[in-house]
Amino acid sequence: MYNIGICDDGRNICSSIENMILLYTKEREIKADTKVWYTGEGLCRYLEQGNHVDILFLDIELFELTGIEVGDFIRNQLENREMQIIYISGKSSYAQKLFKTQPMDFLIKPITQPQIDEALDLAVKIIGKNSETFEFKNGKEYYYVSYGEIMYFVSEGRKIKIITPHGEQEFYGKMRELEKNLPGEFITIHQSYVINREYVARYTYEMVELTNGTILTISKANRKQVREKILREG
Amino acid sequence: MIDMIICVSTNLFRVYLIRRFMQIFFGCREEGKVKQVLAYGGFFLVNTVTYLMFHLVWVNIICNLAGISLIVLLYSKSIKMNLFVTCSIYLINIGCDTISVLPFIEYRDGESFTQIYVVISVFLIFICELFTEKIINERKHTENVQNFTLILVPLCSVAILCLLIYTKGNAGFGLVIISVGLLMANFLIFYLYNMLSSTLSQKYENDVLRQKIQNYSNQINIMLQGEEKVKALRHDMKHHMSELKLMAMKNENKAIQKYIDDMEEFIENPNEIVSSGNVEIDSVLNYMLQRAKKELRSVNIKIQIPAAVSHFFDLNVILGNLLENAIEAAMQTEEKRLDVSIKLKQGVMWIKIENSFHGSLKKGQHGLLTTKEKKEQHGIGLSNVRKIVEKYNGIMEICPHDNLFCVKLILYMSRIEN
Repeated sequence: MYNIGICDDGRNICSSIENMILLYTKEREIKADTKVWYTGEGLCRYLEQGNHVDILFLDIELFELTGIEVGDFIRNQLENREMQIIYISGKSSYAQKLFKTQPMDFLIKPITQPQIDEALDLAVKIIGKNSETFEFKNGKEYYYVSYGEIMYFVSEGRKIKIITPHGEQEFYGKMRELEKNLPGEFITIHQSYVINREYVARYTYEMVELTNGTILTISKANRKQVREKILREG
Repeated sequence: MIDMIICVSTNLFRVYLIRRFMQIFFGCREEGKVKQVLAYGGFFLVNTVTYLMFHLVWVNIICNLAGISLIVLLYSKSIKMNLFVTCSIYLINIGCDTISVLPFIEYRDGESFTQIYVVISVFLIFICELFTEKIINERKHTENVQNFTLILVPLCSVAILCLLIYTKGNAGFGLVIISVGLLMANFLIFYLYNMLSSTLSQKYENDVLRQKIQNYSNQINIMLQGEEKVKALRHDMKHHMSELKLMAMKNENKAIQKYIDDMEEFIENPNEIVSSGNVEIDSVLNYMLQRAKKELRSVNIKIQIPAAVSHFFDLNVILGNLLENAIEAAMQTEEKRLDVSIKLKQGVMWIKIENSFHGSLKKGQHGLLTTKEKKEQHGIGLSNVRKIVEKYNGIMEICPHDNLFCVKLILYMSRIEN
């Protein structure tokens, strides 16, 4: 079950996107609930009340609050990094700020069914991956964290720390063993750091900056490997 | 007399070497030419005169150290830097002197000895200088990294001199002429080499600039065309509105739709293929893709980049060359297909250019060889694009499939200060 939101000040566009989403979900037999807002304020209020949206189609040129501001609100005020935001716009030029809100895709109006299908395919795939859980043992008890919440792992001595946006947890283990069983979004940048690529704000050849501002060094031994992974998987 | 000629010429060469050393450490300086001439000239005079008059080690040491550090003062005011540069240059000097003189004669302070060994010493310093230059330039990623084979020139000179000294004994006017000649030849070779490489790089810069100007003027034309169309539409707006109103009153929905479609089509500028708002990228792409649209059957472009990207490398050169190659190759195929995708994600510019491709690739020693007939006509080529990309730590990958040629590359767009 996916909650899909559409936020655009054009009523016709909203309903045409909604129809295309319905067609998509019917075809793939996916359960989804769509919701429509005509203003950014309405959407923000809805989210502030603790309601959940998985995939959001967001117009960049809204009336009062712009799409960029809404995106910024979702990422930085609500600290929601998991929502898949797809920007829609009448123009093909984008502001620099937009790229800081981790958009999943951009669609240019007029929007067509194949564009919607492609964007939803990717969103569903990412959400599916993020909801898988990582299992670890601490003492005698088993714990679970969904992969989508893990920002990075740090090894400290014999322990491995899991860093999430909400806090830290730790367990006994070896980085070497851990690396083997992680999904593809995780990438080893250092013998004591494994990061989730979804949480990377910026890469350079030598360092990465995460979305919360943490800066980690890519060790010399790993630089070429990391670079190749970025090239391959975009 | 003979000794004096060699002494003067070796000293002159030594001063030239010190100047090269300074250029390695501090880069080329154009300003204060008079000051430079005075400093180097003064250093040369004082050094030569004191050497010829005293033949004393401690006088030489003081004279050299003071001279070099005064010259460094021309470039840098920092005492630490001054000490470091002076010491390292002097150490290289003294090391080479020792190596070239001590094995041949028993040296006692205050005595004069045959100057022929000093020539060898100067060549050794030269070799050291070339090595330092190579290492430092490579680390700084400067463009003009010298070819390693150049070091062979002073090396051969040393070999020739050693051979002559052994076969003929160490006196003789001929030997002097040969050594002075070798010094001159070395100096001239490097002087000409530097001149040549600077002309070459100037020519390259000119070419890039010319390409840029062409792109920009094309972009300006596109913008003007767009402007004119909007003007024309605005001029006829009243007419269009009344026309539409009339149709609406008659409930002619189909006709209204057709009319609006026509208006849309009219305002569209067929030459403005890309409008990301980023002038630099738009201008290259529009210029290259106009041609692609004319010559090819299917052109797909997907661009997701912000309007303002700050970058420190020549995107024009990279994109221009890759697209030129791709279009050229696609034109020769049945499919005539070109796909371009450029996006910026997580501080990384990601470029993928795919084209239909016909014929076979030849693999050369350094990657793929061109299949084109007139090689010199084709931009700077893939291997050079790769060089540019790699200079900024980026990476480029070429994956030829059966009938599809694909180039993928990434460039790091930002810098993080730790």
